Parts: sequence; C-alpha cells; structure tokens
Amino acid sequence: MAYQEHSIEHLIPRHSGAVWSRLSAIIGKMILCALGLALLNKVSGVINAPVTLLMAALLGYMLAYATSLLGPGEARRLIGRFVVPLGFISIVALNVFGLIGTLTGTDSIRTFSSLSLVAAPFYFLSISAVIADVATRRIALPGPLDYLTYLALPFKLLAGPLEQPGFIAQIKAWQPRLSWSRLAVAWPWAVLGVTMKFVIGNRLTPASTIGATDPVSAFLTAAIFELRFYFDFAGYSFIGYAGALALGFRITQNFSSPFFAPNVVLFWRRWHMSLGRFLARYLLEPNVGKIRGRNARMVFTSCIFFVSAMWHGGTMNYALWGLFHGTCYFLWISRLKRRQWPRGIGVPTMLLFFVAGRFLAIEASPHRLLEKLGNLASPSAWAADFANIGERLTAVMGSQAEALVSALLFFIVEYHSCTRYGTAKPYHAFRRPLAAFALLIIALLFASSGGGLLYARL
Amino acid sequence: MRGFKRLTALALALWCAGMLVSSVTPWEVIVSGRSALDEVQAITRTLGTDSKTPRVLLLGSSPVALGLSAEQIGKETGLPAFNLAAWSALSYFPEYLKHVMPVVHPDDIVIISNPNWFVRANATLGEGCVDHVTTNCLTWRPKPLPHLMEVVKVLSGAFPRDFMMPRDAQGDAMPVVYAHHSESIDVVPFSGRFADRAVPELRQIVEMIRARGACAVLAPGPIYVDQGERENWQRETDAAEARLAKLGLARAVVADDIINTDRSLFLDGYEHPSDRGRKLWSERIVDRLVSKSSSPCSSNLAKAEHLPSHS
Repeated sequence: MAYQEHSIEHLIPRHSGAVWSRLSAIIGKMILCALGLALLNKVSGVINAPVTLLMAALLGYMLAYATSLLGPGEARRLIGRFVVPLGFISIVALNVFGLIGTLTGTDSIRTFSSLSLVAAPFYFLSISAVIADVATRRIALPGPLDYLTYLALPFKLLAGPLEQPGFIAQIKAWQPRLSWSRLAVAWPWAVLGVTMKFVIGNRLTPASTIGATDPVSAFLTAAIFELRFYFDFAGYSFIGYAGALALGFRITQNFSSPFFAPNVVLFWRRWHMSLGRFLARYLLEPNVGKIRGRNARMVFTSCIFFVSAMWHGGTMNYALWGLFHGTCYFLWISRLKRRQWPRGIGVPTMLLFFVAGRFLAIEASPHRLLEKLGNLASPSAWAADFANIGERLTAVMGSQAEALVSALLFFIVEYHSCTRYGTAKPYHAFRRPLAAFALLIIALLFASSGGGLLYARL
Repeated sequence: MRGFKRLTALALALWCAGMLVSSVTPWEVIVSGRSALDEVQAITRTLGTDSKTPRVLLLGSSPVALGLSAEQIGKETGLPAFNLAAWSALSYFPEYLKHVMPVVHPDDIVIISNPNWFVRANATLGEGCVDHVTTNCLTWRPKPLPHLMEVVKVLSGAFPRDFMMPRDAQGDAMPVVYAHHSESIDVVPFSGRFADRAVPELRQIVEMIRARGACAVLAPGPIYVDQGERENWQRETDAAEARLAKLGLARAVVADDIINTDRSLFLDGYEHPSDRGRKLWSERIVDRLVSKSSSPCSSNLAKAEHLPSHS
C-alpha cells in the first residue's frame, strides 16, 4: 500500500505538470493563430484574406503530408528543388496580372490588387518552403497547429513574414510565459521601432511629389522615398521583432544598418534580411552548384535580383529595378570588389546606388518614368532646375524638414553605433538603457498614428 | 537583474500612463481647433465690426478654405466676400458656428458647407471643449500611440499656426501646388445612408443663420468618389435634397455636380478641391446666386445693387 501511495504521489504532479504544460502551449498557439488571422483580417479589411490563407495552408499541408510519405528518390528530390521556384513563378504571375499590388509607395496605384491576397507573396512562399524542407528531410512534417502558427504568427506579418521553416522548431518547443528578462530585452527594440516608424517614417511624405518629373525634384523624391521605406519597414519590423522576443520567439531582425554597408553585397545582407536569406536558401544554394563556370554562376546569382524584383511588382519599373540591382551586383562581384576604393568615391557611389534603385522602384507609370529618365539626361532640364533651385528644394523638402532633420540625427547615432559596437550588435547605441529611455520619451511625445504600412501589400 | 526589472517596469508603466492620458480626450482636435479658431478670428478682424455693407461670408471647414474663392465670388457678385472657414472644423462644427455667428449681420449672404453632410467616423468634440477643457470633454478613444505633445500644447496654451497653409486677407487658402499631386489621392468610400441624419442638422444651421437676418446658402462640398459608387452617392445626395425641398429649402441648396470621379479636381484629399476645382465650385455658387429665376438670396443682392460701391 505504501509503495502504491508513493508511486501515485510520484506520478500525479509530474503527469499533471506535463499535461498543463502541453495544454497551455496548445492554447497559447491557438491564441497566436487567432491573433494572426485577426490581424490579417484587420489589415486587409476583408474576411477573404484569412480564408485564403487557411485554404492555402490546408492545401500546402496536404502536399507536405503526401511528400513526407514518399520514399527517397527522384520525385522527392525534384519537389525539394523546384517547389519554391514554382511558388515564386506563381506570385510573379499574380503580380503581372494585377492580382497582387505593386509596391510603389502610393496607395492609389495599388487599388487594383485583390484584397484576398494581402500578404500572399509571403504566405505562399512560406508554404512552399515547408513542402520543400519536408521533401529534403530538412525538417520533419510539423504538427498541424505548429504549422499554422508558423504561417499565421502575428509578429511575422508585421515584420515581413518570410521566416524559414526551421523556425517551426522554436514554435514546437515554445511555452507561453511572461518573463522580465524577455521584456527587458524586447522593450528597447519596440521603442526603437515605434520611433523609426511613427516619429520619423510617418512624417516623411514623398508621395506628394512623386509626379514631379524635373531632375532635382525627381531625384530628391526618390531619396526621401528611400528614407521613408527604411524608417517605415525597419520600424515595424523591429516592433514585430520586439513582440516576438517578449513572447519567447526569435524571428529574423530584417534590418541591420543597411545604409552603412560598404558595398552592394553587404547592403543586401542587411536590408530585408528575411527575404535575402530565403532567396539564398531556396533559389541560389540548390542551383548555383550545378552551374559550370565562374562567370555563369555570377550571372545566375545576379539574375536572382530580377526574380526578387518581379516578386515585388510585375511592372516595367520593377523589371528595370531588378536589372539595375542585378547589374550592380554582377559588376561588384566580378570586377569592382578586387580594387581598393577610397571613401571619397565609395560613399557617394553607394548613396547614388540607394537613390537610383528607389528612383526606378517607386514610379509605376512607364510614361512618366521615361520622362523622368529623359530629364535626368537633359542638360537643359538640369539648367532649369538649378535656376530655380531654392523653389525646387522647398517644394520637395519644405513640408518635411523636421522629419529629415530627425532622420539625419538618427543616422548620426546609427553611425556611432556601427563604428563603436559593430554590426554584431545592431542598433546597440539606441538600446542602451539611457538611450532607450530617451527614445521612449521621444516616442511618448511625438509618435503619431496613421501612415499605413508602406512595404506591406495592402 | 533587479535593475533591469525596475527599468522595464518603469518603461511599461510610462507607456501605459501615456496611453491612458492620450485616450481620454482627443487632444489633437483641441490643438488644431484652437489654432484654427485663432486664425478665423484674425480674418474676422479685417471685416470691421460696424460694416453695414451686405457681404458674402463663406463658412465651413478645410474644403471651403481651399475650395471656395472669396476673391472670385466677390468679383463676380460685386459684394465684399470673406472666407471664414476653419481647418478641421468638422470635429467641432457647432462650436465653430458659435464663434462665427456673431460676425453675421442682417442682409449678409452666408454660404455654408457643413463638412458633416455625409456620415464618417470623426473624432467630434463636445461643445465648448475647444475653448475650455473640462471634465465634459472626457471621452474614451483608445490610442496605442500617446502623442503627448498635443497634451503639452493644450496644457501650456502654445498653439503654433505654422502647420497650416497661408491664407490671404480675404481668407482664401494659398496652397502650394505640386505637379501630379493629385495622383496619391484615394476615393472616399461610401459610408452608407446619410440623408436622414444630415437633413435636421442642415435645417438647424439654416434657421440659425436666418435668425440673424441673413440669407443662407447650403453648399455641400465636392468629393472624389469611385466610379462604381457614384450612383450610391448621387442617390443619397438626391434624397437629402428632396427632404430639404420638403422643408421649403429647395432654393437654399446648391449641390450641383458635387459627386466627382475626376481626380484632377482635387488637391491632396478626396474633399480638398484643387485650383481648378475651386474655380468650378465658386462658379457654380455664383451662377446660382446671380440667377434671376433660382437665386436663394435675390432680395439681398437687390439691396446690394442700391449701394454706390456696386453701381
């Protein structure tokens, strides 16, 4: 009898603890899924968006399940290699046919897109990545709830949700609990994100001069658009990153001082990092080894920019944007990286690279883009601009002078952070206790809502 | 660790307190309201208090400041005209009317565009809250982003005017016009039936103006709508006009061609007319005013014609 009692005492606490732990994890994940779907519903404004996600997720899970049943062989190998490229092609097709909006920075140009497909480029690729990873046995077939949590995690939607399926391991092991140490790490990131997005980003309003075709205005508008994209996208990425950290997830940080990158290769490793890593993992790595010849491999690598461009938008300006970045990338890795470039040449060239890329990306009207490019090459257009330079500068920058000064101050601290702490500790100067508190006060005083999520496909 | 815990708790507490303070009152509306009313007061000072001349007074919100030209109306009617519109007055329209009504004299022609002629989700303030923040102004509008600068401005009484567009002596706004500016404008989504709610309010405003012996002209502002929703907007506008006609106000309403699908008629928002839109809207108002058959204020204009300045 004593033995029995002892064994029962031994079993009950352990058993109930494990059951409670599993139950709380299941409930927590269900809540996260519900929040993710609700957020998607909120940003799209239509119930069709979460329904589309659920249907795509179900189809994807069935395919992943069927793939997991396949034995080793050619079929599995082909699925592992080509399912993500097929996902890219389907998204590009949806882009070209106008079902997914193009990232231009002005809402009115995106009105033709289907609201059911909000964030679809991210979700469809995540689903195809799960199938590919199951096929290559990189991951085991995840449980349905873990899989849905991976797709619908609300912080991912906010941060640019292109996590690789390896993230499912974190979800599987996740236990919902609040911890002060997590909050202590998370809140400086949240405050940094709020300051970037809602104090600086929202006050930059370059869309109002997107139609100006004279060279100075067009160039300045592109430069301010580049700033807007950075502060906007990095800002809400960090807010999402902070939310995930607070709950115990470590999602991709997405940005790491990209404007202080010394060359185009490093720039792309620090800008929209989750997309860059995804492209490298699923398009570059499985295929580049099969290409013979160094030059051919470099051309293939550069072509990935074109795929990325078409994923962003199926319009002429994005095709040109992809060609521009692919060419810059190719020139750097094939020719320019072997030389030592003085800073006097390197820094202005990088600045020109940032602005020129954005110049192409924001202009969805082919007619006006050609007019702008023509004016850039026209000495008389430049002469007319310089004759009225004060007026031009005021028209483009006058209403956002405060935001531009704030952006400049931000970059000074960011540069200090890069030089003092290095890229291994990104934005560290902003996250130190005093600086984080200063940002908190700034955010409390000046953070204004609105502005939308510029980079999201809304 | 204890230090981190305290710091984190302090940061969270500050944020929550900020959210609470910013959520209990629409501070930003009070700030913009006070600045705008100050500006209107400055314009009314140019009217002169003892003027006996019948005048054209333009009342409303930003669509009137940008979309009706006191200069053009003044030239074409031969009457002195003033634009007394206040920025963002849609959020405190009753209080705005209280401020400008003393300026209205008998025989004046008051062209009024109530910005709330169709339903939308506005942060409307309780009456009197622009002037004095009291406990009556407390409303609960949860805001995750505090923006406490507005609270600081209200409490300190510092209301900068520099965020507004400059206005000339007659009160017309002088917007900076960018080429292709209108391309970033979105349509206003159809917000459902509004005629039932709008008509009693418009009637009340007309009565208020007539009580001062002036002639009231109701001029809902032009809006930019989606082609697919044009019919809905037109149907509801026609319904509102029909109800006003039943109340004997048919002549007082000038709502021709206010539902637009041409974006170039707008400056930077679905109800902010561009320079071309301003000319067209002003012309329509003048046409109706001087029309011999359907002018709502023919007697006022007749009196004006006897004045030496308009002979």
